Amino acid sequence: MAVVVSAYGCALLCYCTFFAMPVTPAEPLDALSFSIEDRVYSYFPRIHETIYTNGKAFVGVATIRTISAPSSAFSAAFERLDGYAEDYAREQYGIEVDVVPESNETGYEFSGHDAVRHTYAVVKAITVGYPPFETTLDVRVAEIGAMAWFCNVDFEAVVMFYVAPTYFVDEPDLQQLRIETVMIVEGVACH
Amino acid sequence: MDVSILVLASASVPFGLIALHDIASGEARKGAFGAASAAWSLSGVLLVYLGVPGLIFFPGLLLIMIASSLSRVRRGGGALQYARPSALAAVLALVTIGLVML
Repeated sequence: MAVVVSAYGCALLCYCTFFAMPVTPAEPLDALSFSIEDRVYSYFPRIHETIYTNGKAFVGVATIRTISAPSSAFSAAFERLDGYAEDYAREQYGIEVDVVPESNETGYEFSGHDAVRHTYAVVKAITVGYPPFETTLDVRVAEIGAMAWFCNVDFEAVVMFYVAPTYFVDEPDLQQLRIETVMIVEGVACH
Repeated sequence: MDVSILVLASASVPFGLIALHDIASGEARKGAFGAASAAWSLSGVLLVYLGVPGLIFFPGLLLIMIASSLSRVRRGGGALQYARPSALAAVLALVTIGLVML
């Protein structure tokens, strides 16, 4: 009996050690002009997060120690993202936006893995023209992307979110920022 | 291979040692199922590392445990001896339904 309990204890210790071990953070090839902030989000299971920001663009990458993660689990989580994003914009910035699902793919080939990819349009009502002839238009001001995949060689799941501007009429410089955001996103790999 | 993966793979080793102990003690059938479980878990880690989807390994482990429990059922032993395989089968059904629905 003591041998069996010891065996279960050893196995439990192995699993706990595995989940607590540091991850190899997924990162882009080049962070370009974005500022980087990274930290350990959780020690058990080990989750490392890196945030890349540059004004109106944002890329967040979380690397999670896990045994295996089905794509469907990521999809289920991402399907709630639109509501969270609307609430976040309202509470953090006092902005009323609509976040509209645009696409979702489960077998998206990314960085050598099968990834889940959801994209959303951030739609904001913008008033154009001058009184009394002004009119309100729904404009797609930004794109939110959520991607996740399992790195089998590291036993880590990578979850990435990004926000990239898509409305350049008032600020043409945002076009370059969008290009840089896409470059960062496309360059993220397990290690 | 990362150290963390070796640690994960080594979680199967104690169960393999118990299986060997069972076989050496004359409980060949029990030991064989234990060895099969340990080998399945170990191969799961290696195969997931090589890119095989990990979802098949937990249901597979449950199947081995159900077979192991059923192998110990004796004729006239009462309904209680079916409790363990029935409970494991219920977990297997829930896991399978969960995987299909997700």
